[in-house]
Amino acid sequence: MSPPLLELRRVSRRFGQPLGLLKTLANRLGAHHQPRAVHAVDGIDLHVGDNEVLGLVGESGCGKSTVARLICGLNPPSDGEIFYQGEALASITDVDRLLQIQMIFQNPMASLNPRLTVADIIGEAPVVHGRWAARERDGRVRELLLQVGMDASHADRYPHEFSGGQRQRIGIARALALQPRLLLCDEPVAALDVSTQAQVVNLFMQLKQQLQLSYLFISHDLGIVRHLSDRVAIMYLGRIVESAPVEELFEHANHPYTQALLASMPQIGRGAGQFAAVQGEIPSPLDPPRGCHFHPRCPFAMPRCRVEVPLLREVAPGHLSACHLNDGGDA
Amino acid sequence: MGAFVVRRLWQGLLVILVMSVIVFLGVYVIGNPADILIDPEATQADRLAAMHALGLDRPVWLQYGAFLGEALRGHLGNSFVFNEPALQLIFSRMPATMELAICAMVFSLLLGIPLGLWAGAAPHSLAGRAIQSGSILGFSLPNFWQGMMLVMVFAVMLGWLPSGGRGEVGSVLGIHTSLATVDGLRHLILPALNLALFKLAMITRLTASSMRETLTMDFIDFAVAKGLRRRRILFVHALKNVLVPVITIAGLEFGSVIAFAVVTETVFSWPGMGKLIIDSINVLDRPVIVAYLLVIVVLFISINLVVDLLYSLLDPRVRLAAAR
Amino acid sequence: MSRLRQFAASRVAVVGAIVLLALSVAALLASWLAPQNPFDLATLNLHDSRLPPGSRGVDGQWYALGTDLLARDVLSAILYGLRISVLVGLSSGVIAFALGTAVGLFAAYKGGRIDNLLMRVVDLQLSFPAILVALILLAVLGKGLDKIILALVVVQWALFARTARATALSEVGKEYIEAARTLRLGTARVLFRHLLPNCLPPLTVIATVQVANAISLEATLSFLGIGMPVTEPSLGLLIANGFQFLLSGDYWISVYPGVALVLLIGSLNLVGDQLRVMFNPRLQGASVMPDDTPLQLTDPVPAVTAHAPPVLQVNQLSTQFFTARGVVHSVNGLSLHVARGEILGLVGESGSGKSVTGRSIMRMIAAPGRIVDGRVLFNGVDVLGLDEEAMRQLRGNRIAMVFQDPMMTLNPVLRIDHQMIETIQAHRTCSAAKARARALTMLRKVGIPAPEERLLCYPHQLSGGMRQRVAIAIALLNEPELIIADEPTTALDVTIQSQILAEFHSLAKATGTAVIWVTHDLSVVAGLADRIAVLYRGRIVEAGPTAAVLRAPLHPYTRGLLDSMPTRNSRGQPLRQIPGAAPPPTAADNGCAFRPRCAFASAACAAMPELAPLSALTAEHAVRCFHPLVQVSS
Repeated sequence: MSPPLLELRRVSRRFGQPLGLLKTLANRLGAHHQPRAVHAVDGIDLHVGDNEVLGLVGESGCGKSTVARLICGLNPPSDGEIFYQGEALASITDVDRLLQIQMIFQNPMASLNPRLTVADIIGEAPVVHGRWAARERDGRVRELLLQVGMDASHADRYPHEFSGGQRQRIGIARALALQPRLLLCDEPVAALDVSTQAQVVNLFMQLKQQLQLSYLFISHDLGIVRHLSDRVAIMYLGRIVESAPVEELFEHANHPYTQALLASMPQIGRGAGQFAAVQGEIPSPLDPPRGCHFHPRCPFAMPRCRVEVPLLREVAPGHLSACHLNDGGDA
Repeated sequence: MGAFVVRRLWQGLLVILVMSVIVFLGVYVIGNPADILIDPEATQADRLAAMHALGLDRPVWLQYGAFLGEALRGHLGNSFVFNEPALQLIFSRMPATMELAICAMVFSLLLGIPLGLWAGAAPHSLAGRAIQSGSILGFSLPNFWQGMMLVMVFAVMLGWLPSGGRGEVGSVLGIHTSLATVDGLRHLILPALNLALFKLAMITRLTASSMRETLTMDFIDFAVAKGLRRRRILFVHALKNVLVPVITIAGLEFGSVIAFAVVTETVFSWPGMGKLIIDSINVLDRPVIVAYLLVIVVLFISINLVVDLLYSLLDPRVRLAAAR
Repeated sequence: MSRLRQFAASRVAVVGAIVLLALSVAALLASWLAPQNPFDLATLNLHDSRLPPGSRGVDGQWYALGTDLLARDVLSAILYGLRISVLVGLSSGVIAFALGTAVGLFAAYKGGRIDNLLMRVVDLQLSFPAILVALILLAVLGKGLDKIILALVVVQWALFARTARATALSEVGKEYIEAARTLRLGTARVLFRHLLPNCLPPLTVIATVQVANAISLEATLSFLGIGMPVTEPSLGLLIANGFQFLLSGDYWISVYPGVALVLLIGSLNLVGDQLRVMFNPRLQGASVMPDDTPLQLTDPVPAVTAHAPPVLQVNQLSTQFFTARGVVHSVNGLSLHVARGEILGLVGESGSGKSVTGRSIMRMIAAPGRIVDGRVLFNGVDVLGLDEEAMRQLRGNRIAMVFQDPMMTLNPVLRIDHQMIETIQAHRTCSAAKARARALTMLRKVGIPAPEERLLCYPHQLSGGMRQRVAIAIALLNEPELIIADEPTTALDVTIQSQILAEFHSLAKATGTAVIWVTHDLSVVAGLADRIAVLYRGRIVEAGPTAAVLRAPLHPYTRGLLDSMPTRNSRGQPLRQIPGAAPPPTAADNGCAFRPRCAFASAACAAMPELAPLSALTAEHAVRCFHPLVQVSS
């Protein structure tokens, strides 16, 4: 069996401040000061197949954006390894292969350099990397603009002249210019107006078909994730708590957190005042609860959940969940 | 809180040490006081004897070692010119400078904060714009020229106030100060005003822009939406936020006031340490220069420490983080 | 071009720029403009020493500004001195700018220990006043043009380094820099093509002010006798030369050079100040702090005695923003009503005017915005005609408001209990103890655990969800008749949003408070609102009972919004989308604003449709459309 396009094995990322001079000195003298660290990503396994969309869902502070940043190299992982087409990403030296992974950012206002024209924004990287000759740049940019549903005449304008949806299209064109195989989409429609969200979602789906792209689609919006993902993984405080093919996950959510998330989702069909609410706050990532991170908010929490970290195990074909409840009575 | 103070003290000591090296090297290695102190007509033997007497013929690091050892015991050498311990000389001039600096600082805060609040709360009113423009003029006036103009108008043309000197010094609770006598006060007014005007402009501008930014914050909107009275919004909600940066900067600016006293003291012949340092620089009286710098470094580090403590008392976000 | 216009907005700054330009030209052309070369001792006639302005010398030369001790023409000396001052200020400024910026960018981009070390040095340097550092350096180095420039560079570079680093750090975190990195464009390219140009504006501001400071500092040092040598007199030295004659009344020797110096520094500072305002948007913001002039829009309407009037009745409200780019019609003749105990969901996209509507009702529109027309009847009284004190008594008391971002709405330096108690005491005489008890009850009602402890907290000690609960508790403190909630759950996570929606719904129903819940998300108000009003470009296009609007929308826009929701589409198929984007709010148009995006648009749509029910049977459900969807589908 050929390896998946992208695979993460036990990948972790800690952010922390190194100890100051005094504390380092004190440690030399036998003290035990620990640096404060946040486990933004805590030993996760993930894989994305060819022409597959993996939806990554979670609330703020769960580490979902960090996962994308680890994959595209903005931050190195603290532990674990990332494999691209079966090869460790850290050992790939061929820039062209590294460029096959591109990112789409959340904020269309901030993700385009305000001082460059659209043609510069889209055309800079391919020219720098020698993919395009400088003189063919403008023609290529126009083709790409048409491909993302914009007017070719927009090439000479500056980002501030466009609406949020159009800017996001420019960002997509910038990524497409390098002929990527995998797009990391970090909340790509969250900052858009409702009426333009659908346009951009449709563009993503259409490009996936045309160009045989794979996506890691990060979002907090379950509706959109359900619509365009093939598989979904749910994150909570740095860990994956559940992953499954999309229909399986939405029909048979196993983890109590996933169930709570689905129940909290605002819905049109909901009757007046019917809000199913999960208890409590999201704990601080600086000081997450021991054992299962979700246990303080979980209606089914048992003594075991406070001590032991539940591992992901298969509850149905292709459906993994990290919950002690799945061990049944034999715990 | 205790740990915080200890850490700051430790950092301060480090800075003093580093500064002592820089100052010593800068002053002792580059300039040569022998050229100034020793008669140019003297023979080479006389020169060497004089340099030996002053300890100038030893290697630099030995000179520094001796200097540091002496400094720790409070001896920073004798002034070449006055033949008096340099430190003692500086401490004898310090009260005059402090008196001037404190008066200037108090004056600029008392006037600058209200003016700034006014300009910040009503930036488009006539008064607000006048205060803003006036403050630009205020810090565009070089201190020394502005002092000279004060002399010209109030001492020469109007003849109301003396043009220089410190005047009669009285004693209150054992402290010698110009504030105790009418003559002393008359001599103090112009120099203090001169030193204050520059900082006044700065504090006014800082307060005004801080006030202006604060008033556009969401929490001010919320305070308006709560139906609070205008007075309470301005003087409790906004002011408390404005004062945090203003007090911090004002504290740090006190150091700058002491430094700028150099200019004021020169213009008004005020017998403080600023005038002393200028005179010492002009004759390269190294022990005095070094002693002055080290005193200033210690002074600034103490000011910084006090400002940090004050800041953490004013801003609950810092206060609680430090307490942890 | 717009930058130039922005600069010219301040007349004082324009005057400054002109003076600066004139002085620079004069300095540049000094050797042609000056009547005399003050450095050429041969041309000086010592008989002309200390002549007052306007006098003639023994050889018949006319001295417009008098002469000094050496019989130099003061005007000529000023022009030559100006040249030295400008040279010193500019060259030291430029060098310090380049050096400091390079260090700052490098530190920011590298981060870690290098950054730490460099910034320690910068901090150390900046903790000592410039004048002191320059004084010592010159004491050591001696006099001379090159030395004073060196000293001025040393005292200035640190400020540039700190500013460059701070700006670069905020830019480095922005997504376009991350994008450039994921495109693997190379460090040099990212630094100089992407990062540097975006860091320049604040540095330019600093540079202007720093050149002014450098000129002032050079003059001061020269005055103290340790700056420029006597053979190359800068303005500072000229002033110093006249100092001794000031007491004897020969004022011109130091006053006129001083005036030139002040003009130079002042004009630079004026220009710098205007640049600072231009590049700092926070200084352009206006406050909603009401002034004391009441709105004189309409005469107050006496309370109508009609049977059970709605709590709020808004008629033909228009709010416009008078910006440099034109008038923005944010709210455009909008009418709505809310009855006691009713929750109205006000739904619209960004720029639809939904937040401005809420703020207009509270009369909290900051300049350049203004309510230009309409009536806002609260219990039958037009609040637009009230004086400011009467309006204040309504705010937070009868009409309360909750804002979107809970991290920003509570005052960071005041404890929660103070912020709650003051809200009660602003509207009634009440002891602090009683007010505190009331605050405690309210915190408990909005679902805050351990409320006694929370009362003593500062806002930053609470999570976003908790802060929003506190804000809601504050809004409810005085049992208002109407709450305007401006997207209060948008910034929160879904599980927290769900909790707050549940609590808010039951509280509003229990107290009978009317609510306007502003949101961009139809699905949020679906379970909350009794009625929904949909906004498009400042007008309500559809309003009706929640169930009716969601089940059978009449306006193509409402229908489009609902249809584009993923839950209403089959998985894997393209979402049904509304084409295009909303027109810019400056575009004046008399017809239906949705027609460029509407599939049903016809020639009739060039006129403005009325907001009206389709028939008397459905009087509650109104639509502003010539082609409502019922007719089309049936």
